Amino acid sequence: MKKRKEKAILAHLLFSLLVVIGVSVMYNNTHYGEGIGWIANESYEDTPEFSGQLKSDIDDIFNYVKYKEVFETNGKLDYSKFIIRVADGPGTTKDFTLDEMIRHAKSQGYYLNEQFKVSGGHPNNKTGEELNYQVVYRAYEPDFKAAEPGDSFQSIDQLSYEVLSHLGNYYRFYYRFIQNPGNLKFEIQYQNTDKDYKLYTNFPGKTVDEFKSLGKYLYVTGEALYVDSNLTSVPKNVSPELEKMNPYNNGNYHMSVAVDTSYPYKDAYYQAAESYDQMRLFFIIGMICLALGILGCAATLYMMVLLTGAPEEQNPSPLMQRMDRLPAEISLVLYFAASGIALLVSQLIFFKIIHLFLSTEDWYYGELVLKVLILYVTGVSAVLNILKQYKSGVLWKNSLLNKGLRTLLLYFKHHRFTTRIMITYSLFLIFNVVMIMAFSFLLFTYNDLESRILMGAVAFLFLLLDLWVFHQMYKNAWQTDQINQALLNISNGNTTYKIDTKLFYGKERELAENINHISTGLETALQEKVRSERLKADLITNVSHDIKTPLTSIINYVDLIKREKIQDPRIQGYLEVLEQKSQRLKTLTEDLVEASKASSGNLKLDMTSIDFVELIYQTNGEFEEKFALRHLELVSTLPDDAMLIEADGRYLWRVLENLYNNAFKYAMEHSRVYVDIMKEEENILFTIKNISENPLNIRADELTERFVRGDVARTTEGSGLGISIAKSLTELQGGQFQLYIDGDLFKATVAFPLKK
Amino acid sequence: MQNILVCDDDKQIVEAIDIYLTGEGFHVIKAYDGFEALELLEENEVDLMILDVMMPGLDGIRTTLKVRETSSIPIIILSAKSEDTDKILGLNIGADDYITKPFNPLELVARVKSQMRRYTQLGNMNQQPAGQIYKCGGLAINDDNKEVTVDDEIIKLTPIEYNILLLLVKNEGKVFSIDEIYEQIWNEEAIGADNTVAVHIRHIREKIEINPREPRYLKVVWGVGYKIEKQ
Repeated sequence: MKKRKEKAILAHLLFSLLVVIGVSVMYNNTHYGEGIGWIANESYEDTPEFSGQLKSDIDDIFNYVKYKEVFETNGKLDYSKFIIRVADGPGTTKDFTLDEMIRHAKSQGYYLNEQFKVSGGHPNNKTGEELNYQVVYRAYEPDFKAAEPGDSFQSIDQLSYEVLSHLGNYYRFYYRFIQNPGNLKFEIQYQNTDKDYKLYTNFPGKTVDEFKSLGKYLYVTGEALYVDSNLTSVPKNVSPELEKMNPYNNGNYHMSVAVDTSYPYKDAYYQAAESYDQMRLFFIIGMICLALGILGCAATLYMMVLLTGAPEEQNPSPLMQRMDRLPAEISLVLYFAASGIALLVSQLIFFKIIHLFLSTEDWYYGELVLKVLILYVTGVSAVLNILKQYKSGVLWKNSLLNKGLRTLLLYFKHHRFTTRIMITYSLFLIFNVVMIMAFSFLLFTYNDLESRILMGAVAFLFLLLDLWVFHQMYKNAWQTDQINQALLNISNGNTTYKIDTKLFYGKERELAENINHISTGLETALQEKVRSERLKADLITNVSHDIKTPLTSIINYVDLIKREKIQDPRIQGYLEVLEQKSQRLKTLTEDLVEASKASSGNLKLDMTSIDFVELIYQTNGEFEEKFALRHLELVSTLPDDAMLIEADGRYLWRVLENLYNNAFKYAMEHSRVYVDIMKEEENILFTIKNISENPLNIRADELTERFVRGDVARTTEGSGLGISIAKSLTELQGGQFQLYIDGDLFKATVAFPLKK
Repeated sequence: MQNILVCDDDKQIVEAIDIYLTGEGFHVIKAYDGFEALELLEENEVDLMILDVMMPGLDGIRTTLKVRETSSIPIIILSAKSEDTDKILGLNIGADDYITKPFNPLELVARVKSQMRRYTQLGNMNQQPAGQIYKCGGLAINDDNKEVTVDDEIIKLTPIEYNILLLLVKNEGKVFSIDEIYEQIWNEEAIGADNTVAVHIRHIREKIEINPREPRYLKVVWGVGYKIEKQ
């Protein structure tokens, strides 16, 4: 499997090479720098080069027309031709022939080289005495007029040099177009009469159509205003030049120029066309290579990225393992160093090798390619190494930055809030001072654009940091708010409240988590308490069920014995005790269940609107006769209007029943029991008062505790749970229950909010 | 002789009930769990069942359900469970009465007799003497001869008690407040009403109910008033 990566690397190298080849071919093309548009011209004839070449050749043709008149007689070079007239004295002139001038030139050592350029030195700039000839007429420049009188004075050396160079021009053209056959054909004819005409051609006796059939052509006549041509760009000066050359005063002339595009002769056109086609082909190949190379590189690079750090690479060589474990920064530095060394080595060795194989003008390019390749290889390796670390998830863990940050965090993390504030604020202060100093320094020292920009950057950074600090402070305050909110909720009893710790950072997160722990603990404790309370209630209920069954038998059999009508008063007394105690046990078990349910809140309430006054009347009705048994007078003070409250009638009745029963059992005989209802602000206050028969040597709060009662009362029939049940039930229904004991005065109040 | 099936896993309780009911002239068939009760029910002609709830094997609730599949005899549940929810459950699944342990033997006998009378009466309802008769379950008021009966037993009431009961029975299910009752019966405005009405109600309850603390007909709606429960 590891082979796959090696293959990918190999393929990548090959494609890289392809890119290099493509770039090289394109870069070294003669058309480099012309953009890509030039290859749109399919052939050389469509290119600007061809047009330029043709234009310069047409200029040469016109020059030739001029020179032919000057240097030729009947189509032959005539050395005895008069060429220059000078004034050598006042009123006298002297004429020079071509031959004379050339011989003088030769005597000065001037000659024409292969290029038909004048060689062998240059005439010195002579002083005034030497410029002894005033040139009157030049055959090759008949229209010459001196701009200044001094300009027309020339030395004989200068004149001969001048004539020789013009002759060279003539020769060059003659050599190129007349003497040697070329691909450029031309014909210029000026006609006065049938006999009187001037013809300049290197392609004699051909018709216009024959010219046109050669390929690229240009045909101008004196009559037509337009130029008949299939060239992509027609030289603009053709018509004026042609007219200028016209020796006759008519429009009867024409000019035909054509380039034979089959290039039968190996001249400049042929070479240019050949080179053009070749370069175009190279350029296209280069482009294809480049495109293929880039595509291939991208594909293989993608493969390499995919394969890097893949599971099959899990068991690399020990060296690679060590490499991979290096912190990313160190790896990068190593790669930098490696590329530096490689560049140095290549400069010392490989550049020399390049110099051996490439011509001087290509050295720079070769070196550049090598440098780019070295940088590319090290760069890709570095990126792949980082990628591998990233994929195996150790990039951040191993990085020096991470380690540094962690070390730095040590200074912050495990400190108290105060210390942290001190440290961070000091840092903030230092930064601010430095920034302000830098800012003022810049402000007072420089006032050019760069320093302004720098100042702007500094100010921006400054602002950014201050904003960041504000943000941190705000975040902190927000976190404190959240924590405050949570604490408020928890202290209000909402123990299920949780802080979303995801939004917290650092030490505040720890704080929030701890608060969450506290609330969880409280919640668990509370649930545990509710559960145990419920368990207790269930236990009491179940035990009471179990007690009731044997109790049933006891009560029934005691009753059965009683029915036996036993006369013995002792046994009757025993039976009395048995009956009383078994009845007491019965009430006790029932009250026990009720008390445990009421105190654990394990009751279903059916809250409705209740008239408290009506309820008191009803209760009074229930107890009036019972009270009369113990000679208790019930004195009730009740309002005339209905007093509505929200409560469960059955349980509120149980409250009152227990209170009335309490009075019935413990009030002193022949005393009065006071019952009244008062409206007190938003509450309805029920009060029952009586004088206790026995001293109440007990605190009021103890009375409401289960099973707690005044000592003496223990022998009576009650369970001792009545008051406790009344209190629990009242509170369950949202009321308030209070007891007052003042000497023998026993007073109980039940308060409920008045319903609107 | 009427047969009563008594079923409880506590033998002594069954024995005691046997003694009381035999004393009242009933024949008692004893069972000690639900399955046995169902078997005996098939074998004998039973007029009434007394069932404990918490029994091994088939419990009282399931036994009642089974019995109700085939029979409509009165069933009295006798249970140590005294919560309202237990009572409601028992009555809802088809029991006719619910007595909590420990029970008063006299109350049990009274309730048995009451159920028995109602059960046997069902056939000859139409033979009631003609006249203005208001009925509510076992409670009947003959307005022609001012006679009140509960399960065919004549109850003696004072004229005011009779009027109050008649008012409530005529408006069965409707709740009357003390003031309303006072105004209707005494025909004068109730100014500063006292405990009179409540005391009268209590007296009526003591006369017509088997257990005045857990009234069957005349119910106290605490804090609102009084009503005759729709049967």
